[in-house]
Amino acid sequence: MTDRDVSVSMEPAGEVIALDLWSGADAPDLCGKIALLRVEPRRWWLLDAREADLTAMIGARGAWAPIGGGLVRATLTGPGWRSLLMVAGLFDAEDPAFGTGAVAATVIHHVPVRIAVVGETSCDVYCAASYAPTLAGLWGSVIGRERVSLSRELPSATIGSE
Amino acid sequence: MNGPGRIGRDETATLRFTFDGRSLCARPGDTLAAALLANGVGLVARSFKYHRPRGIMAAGVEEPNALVTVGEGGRTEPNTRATDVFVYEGMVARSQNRWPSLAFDLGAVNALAAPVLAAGFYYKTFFGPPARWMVYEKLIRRAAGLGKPPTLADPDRHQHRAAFCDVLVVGGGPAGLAAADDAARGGARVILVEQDRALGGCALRGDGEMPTSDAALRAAGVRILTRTTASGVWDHGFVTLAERLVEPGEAPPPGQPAQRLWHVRAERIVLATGAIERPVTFAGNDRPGVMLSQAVRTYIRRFDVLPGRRVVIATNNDDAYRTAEAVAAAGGEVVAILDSRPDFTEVARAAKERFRVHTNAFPHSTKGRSGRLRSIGADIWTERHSFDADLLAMSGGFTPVVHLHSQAGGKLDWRADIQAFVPGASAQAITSVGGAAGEVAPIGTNAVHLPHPKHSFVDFQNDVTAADIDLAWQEGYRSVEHLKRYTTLGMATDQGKTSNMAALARLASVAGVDIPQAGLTTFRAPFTPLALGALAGPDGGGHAAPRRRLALHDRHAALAPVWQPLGYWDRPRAYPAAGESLNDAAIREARAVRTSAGIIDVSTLAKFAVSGPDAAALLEMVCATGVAKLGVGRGRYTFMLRDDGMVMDDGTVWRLDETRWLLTSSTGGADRMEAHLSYVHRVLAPHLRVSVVAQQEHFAGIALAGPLAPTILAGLTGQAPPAHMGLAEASIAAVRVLILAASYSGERAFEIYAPGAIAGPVWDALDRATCAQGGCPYGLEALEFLRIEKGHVVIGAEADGRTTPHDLGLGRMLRKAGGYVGAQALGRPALSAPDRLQLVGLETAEASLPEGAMLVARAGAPVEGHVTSAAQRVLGQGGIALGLLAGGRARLGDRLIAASPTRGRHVAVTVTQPLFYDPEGERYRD
Repeated sequence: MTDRDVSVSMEPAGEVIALDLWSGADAPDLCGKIALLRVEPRRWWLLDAREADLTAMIGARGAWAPIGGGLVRATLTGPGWRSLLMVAGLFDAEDPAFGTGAVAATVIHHVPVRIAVVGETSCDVYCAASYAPTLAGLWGSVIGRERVSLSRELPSATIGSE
Repeated sequence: MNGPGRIGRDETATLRFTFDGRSLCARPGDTLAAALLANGVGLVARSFKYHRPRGIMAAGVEEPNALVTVGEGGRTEPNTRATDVFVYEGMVARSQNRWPSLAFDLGAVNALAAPVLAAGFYYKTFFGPPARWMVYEKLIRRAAGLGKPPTLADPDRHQHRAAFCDVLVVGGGPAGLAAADDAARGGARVILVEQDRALGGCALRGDGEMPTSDAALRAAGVRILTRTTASGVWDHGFVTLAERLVEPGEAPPPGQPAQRLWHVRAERIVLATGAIERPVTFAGNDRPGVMLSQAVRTYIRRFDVLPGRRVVIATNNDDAYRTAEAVAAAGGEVVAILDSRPDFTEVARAAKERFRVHTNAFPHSTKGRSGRLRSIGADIWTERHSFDADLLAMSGGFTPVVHLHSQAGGKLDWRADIQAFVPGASAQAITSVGGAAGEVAPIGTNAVHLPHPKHSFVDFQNDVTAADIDLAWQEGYRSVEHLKRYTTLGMATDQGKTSNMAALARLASVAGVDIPQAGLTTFRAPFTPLALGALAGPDGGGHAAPRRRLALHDRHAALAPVWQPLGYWDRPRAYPAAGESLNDAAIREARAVRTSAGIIDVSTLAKFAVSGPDAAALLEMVCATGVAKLGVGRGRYTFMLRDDGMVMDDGTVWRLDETRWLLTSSTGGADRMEAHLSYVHRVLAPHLRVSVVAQQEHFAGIALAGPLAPTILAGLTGQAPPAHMGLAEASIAAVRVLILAASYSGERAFEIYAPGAIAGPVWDALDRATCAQGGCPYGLEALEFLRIEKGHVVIGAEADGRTTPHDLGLGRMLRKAGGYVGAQALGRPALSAPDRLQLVGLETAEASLPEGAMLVARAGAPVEGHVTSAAQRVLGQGGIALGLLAGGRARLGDRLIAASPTRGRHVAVTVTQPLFYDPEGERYRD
C-alpha cells in the first residue's frame, strides 16, 4: 500500500452542530435519528442537522452551537488513506483497531483535525476552513496535486502556499 | 603492483562518477569508498587541523577520515563520509580542506606549526592584548571547518512521517534479523531499520549467517526500512529515524522527497546496533593505507576490493585473524600479524601455520610517500622490526554501539575483558542484543608504550593526538567533559565513534585510574549527521507553521492588499491604490472611516458560544467585569485575567437569550482563550451545566465603521440598526447575519457575522454600499491608527502580560464582588503600587514616534517606560502614541524623550491621557 493509492476531495462541511449533553447517558437517544460523531466524551457533532429540530430532540438535556460555517470535510478515498494520514501526523491511523465508526482528534502538520473512519477504504478528515489549503498542499505534495480537489467554495482553490 | 584495487576483472563497473574531476567507474552497490579503492585511489582527504593526508579507515558510518563533498548546486552535501554514500550514475564527489589540490596542499604547512597548534591553542589566543585576537580570529575563522556548505537553496522536499509499532528493531545484522523474526512470529507489529542499503550487517563481510531473509521478514509483515538511521531515542519509546530515499547529491524522482524523518512510537525497542572496531594508537596511524581490520574484510568480501597487496595486521584480539584469511583468499600477501598479546591463543596458533605471527608485537610507526603506505615499524618483544607493506589492518578491540541505549537514559556497565562499556539497566523498554550487548571478541589488555605520542592520533577527525590528551591533563583538565571541549576530542561528524575509548584509555593512563573512573562523555542525538532539511520537513523554505486563510481571502486578494502575517493568519494591512505608499493608503483608509465609512475583515477574532443554564456563572468566573446582569440583546466590553491578576485578553460579551451568550476575544489569544475556558470549566467549575463551543471560523466577521455606517447598514438590511452595544439579526444579500453594535475605531460601528462558508456575498454587498458612500475597505494599519487615537489597548502591546487592569486604567470596570479568575491576586499591594508602569498617552509635534522607544527624562537618564504603540493623528497633525510609564497617571504634562538608539531617533514627547479623539464618546453613541 502506498500513499498514492488515495485521492482527496475537500468541501465545506455543511450544517454541523456541536452538541454538549449534560449527561452522557442521553447520547444513545440520538443514535439512529441523526448522523453524528462523538468527538469528546460529552460532545457530539451532528452532521446535516438543523437547529430547529434539536429543540424538541434535546430539550434541556444539553446545549448546542453551529460550527459548520468554518469547517471543511476532506474525504480520503482509496486503500492508502491510512498511510497518507501518517505523513506529518501524530496519530496511529494504521492501527487496525481504528475502524469504521471510530473518531480521533489529532494534529496533522500542525493542523488540528478530527478523523472519522467511514469505511475500509475511506475516511473523513474535518479541519477549520482556514487550514484547508495547508492540508491540501501537504497531501498534494505526497500523492500528486491532481489527486487533491478543493471545492471552489473554499477560501482558495489554489493548493499550497502562495 | 601495490596499493588498493579491484579483485579480478572489473567488467561490471558500469556507473560513472567523478572524484576531483577525474572520471571513474564503479559497480552498482559500491560505496564511494569502495569505488575509490577499486580505482586505486587511497588518498581522499586532508585532515582538519594539520592537513595531513588521509585515506579510508573504515567501511561504515564511523569513518573519521574520508570526508568528501558530494553533489552540486543546492544538493551539495559537504562532509559526507565516503563510506556512507553509494555511488550513482553521474555522482560528483570532491575532496575538501585542501588547496590547490589534494595531492599538493599548501595547508600541510600547518604540520610544521604543530607545536603551537596543540590542544586548546585557540583558547590561548585569548591571552594577551585584545587587539591580537582580532588578528587570530581572522586566521582561525578562515582555517576552521572542512567542507563548504551549499550557497543555493535545497531544491528537494523532505517529509515527516509517523509510525507506531510493538517492536522497533534497530540494526539489520544477524542479531537484529533474528529479533525482528521472533517478534513478527509472535504477532507483533515490527519495524526493522538498517542504515546500510542492504540487510546483513557483519554477514555482509562473511562473519556469521543471516538467520532469515528480507523477503521472509516482509512476508511476516515486518516493515523494513533500509538506508535509515535511528538518529535518536527520546522519552516513552519515541524514536526518530532518518531515511535516505536518495543518496547525497542525487536528485529524487519527480514528486518524491529526498529524505524522510520518521517519528516512531514503539512499545519495545531492540538495539542490534553492533560494535565499532577501535583503531590502534601509534605514530603515523592516520596515514592512508592504515585501516580497520574488519573494514579490510568488508572491502574484500562485499565489494571485491583489496585495499592493499602487502598487508600487515596489528591486533589485540582473535577477530583480526579472519582478515588475514580474507586477504590471503583475495590474493594479497599477509606480511606479518602483530599480536600485542604475549601468548599465542588457539586462533593465533592455528594461523601461525600459514602466516608470520608475532606475539607481544606492536606497531610503533609508519612511513609513506605520495599518499601511499610504504613500511611499518614494529616492536616485537625487545627488538625493533620494519615491514614493507602498503596496508596495515589494525584492530584495537570493539566498542559496542551504546549510543541509543544511553540516549534513552540507560546505564552503562564496564567490561574489562573487552575494555568497553556495555548496556546496563535500561530506563525504557529497550533491549540490546548481539555486538551492541557486548558479544564481541575479548582483547588483550597489556599496556602499550607510545614512543611518539605527538604523532599518535587518537581522534583522527579532529587531529587530536595522545600528546594533546597528556597536555590537557597537565593543564588541569580533569573532567572528561572538560577535556573533550579543550581538545575537541569526539566532536564533529563522527562524534568520537572510533576515538572515545582510545582517548579514555589514554586519559585513565595519565590519571593513573581505571577507565570507568576516568568517566565518559554524554551520548547525544543524532547518531550520525542529520540534514537540516529533514528536521524542517515539509516546512523547509518557510516558517514551521501552517498558513491560515481568511474565509474572504480571495476577495481581499482581488484588491491586491499588502498582507500582514498575524500569528498564523495573513490579513490585509492596507489596500494601496496604484503608486500609493503603505502609510498613505492607511491614512486614506482611516480618514474614510472618520469621515464616511469603511469595512474591515475581523473574521479572525475569537468567538465562543457559551450556553446552558450556568453560562452566566462560567462567564463571571472568566470575565473580570460584570456580566450576569446584562440584558438579553445587549453586550459590553470585558477583559479576562490570569491567575496572577495580569490581563490575559479582552473582548466583548453578548447575551443572545437567557441561556446563550457570545464571547469574543483577540485573534492572537484565540487558542489560549479556548484553553482557559476549558480550564475554568473542567477544572475550577466542573459542576456547571454549560457548553463552550469555539466558533472562531464558523462566523466570518466584517466590521462596518464610520459616521455613515448606520445609513449603509439600514439600507442593506431594511431595518434600523441596533443601538450602541446592542445586537440584532438581519439579512444582507439573502444571508442571515448577526449584528453587534460595538466600536473599536471610535466611530459608530457594527460587527456583522455570517457563516464563513457563505460570507462572500455579505462582504460584496457591504463593499458596494460603503464605496458608494465614499468609503472603502481598510486594513490593519488604518485600524491601528484609529484605535490608538481612541486609546484602546491591544493584547501584546499594552496588555503585555505584565500589566494589571489598574495599570491599564481599567480598574473601574472590575467587578467589586470578585469571584473571577485573578481577583485574589489583584489584592496584593504590589499590584497597586503607584510607581508601576501605567498606561499613558504621548504627543509630539513630529509626524511619528518610534514604537518600542525608551521613555527617559533626558539623554542618559534611567529608563522610566516605553512606547507601546505609535501612530499619526488621522485628521490632525503630529504623532501620538500609547506607552507604559512608571507612575504615569500622576505625570500628565511631563515632557520626556522617546529614545530609540537603534533607529537613531530621540523625540520630545508630552505625557497625556491615553485618549486623543472624542473623549466623551459622542461619535459612537446614538
